[in-house]
Amino acid sequence: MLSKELVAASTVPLVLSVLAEGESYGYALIQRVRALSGGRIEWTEGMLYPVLHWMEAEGLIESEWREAETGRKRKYYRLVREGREALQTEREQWLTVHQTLIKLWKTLPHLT
Amino acid sequence: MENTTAFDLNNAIRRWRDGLSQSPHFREENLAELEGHLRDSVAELEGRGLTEEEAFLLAASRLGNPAGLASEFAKVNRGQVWLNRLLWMLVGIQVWGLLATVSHLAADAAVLGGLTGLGYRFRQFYPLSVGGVFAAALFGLANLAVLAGGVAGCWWLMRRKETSFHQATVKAMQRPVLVGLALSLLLLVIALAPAAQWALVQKCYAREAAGNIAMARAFSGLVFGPLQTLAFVVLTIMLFRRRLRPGPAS
Repeated sequence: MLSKELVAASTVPLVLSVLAEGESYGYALIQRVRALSGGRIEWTEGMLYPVLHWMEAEGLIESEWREAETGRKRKYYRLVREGREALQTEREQWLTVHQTLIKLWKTLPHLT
Repeated sequence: MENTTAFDLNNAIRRWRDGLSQSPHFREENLAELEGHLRDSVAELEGRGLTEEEAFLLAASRLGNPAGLASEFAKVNRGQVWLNRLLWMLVGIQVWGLLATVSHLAADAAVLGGLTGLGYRFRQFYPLSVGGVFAAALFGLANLAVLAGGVAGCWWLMRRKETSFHQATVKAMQRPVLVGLALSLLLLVIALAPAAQWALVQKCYAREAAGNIAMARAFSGLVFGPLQTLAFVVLTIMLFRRRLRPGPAS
């Protein structure tokens, strides 16, 4: 299980990355992240929506209400250019942290 | 305990949505989106063999508790929250106007009727007579007492959850615009009442007495004003202390 702080910090890059695969909606986004993380990234599901709305206000994504295959209306989100750029920046930052930690942990063999 | 009433998903979802809509932090669109999510989640959990009721309960708890959701949505719906507050301030001003007008009418009528019944004829006011000062103070105190009584009465009715007044208020709270419009119309009608009351005074009392009544009424503000300010200060302090008291753990 991820800590609360890490969940909060990783939500935006995760959403950007899932939407980079193609447009999606809130419920499917959560399912995708849950499946990829083997259930180790668990969001309080409703909390995703304020983040999506904030990202839309920031101009990273755009949304559209459309009829889904269930016959009900559903709000779809997709990445826009600024979102792709933000994803690039996020990727560099997360990789920096990741690579630094990996290098440090290599010299600490008792950590498994 | 055996469950005698069958679980109705649409009913449960409506109640769940109504619960959320009590908070000003959600837009209608947010609620529609959350409801869509809840329905998707229920459908999937049912597909995994849960009963409709179990699926609903689990899906709702996965979405998060209403207070937590409201505070997260509040961060992205700031403008909406302020609009809502402004709307309620306007409604509050109208409620106050209505309550004040009605209580002034009642208090003035009571004091006039009472003093006249006791044989006081409002013959003199200038130079400041004992009777004139007494009448002015009485008008001021009566106005304040009736107003305070009205506020306390409304508060008491609100607090008693089983009264229809409470239920009506809760229902009205969901439609501030409609309530505001209705109150405006009522204020428009009731604004005529003080004029009618003073026309009646002019008719019933001698010219000089009517003038003295108007004078006593005007001077009553010297008693009413400071006491009203004091009441506001006390009320503000009381409400503020109440707000600072920690609420029940959720």
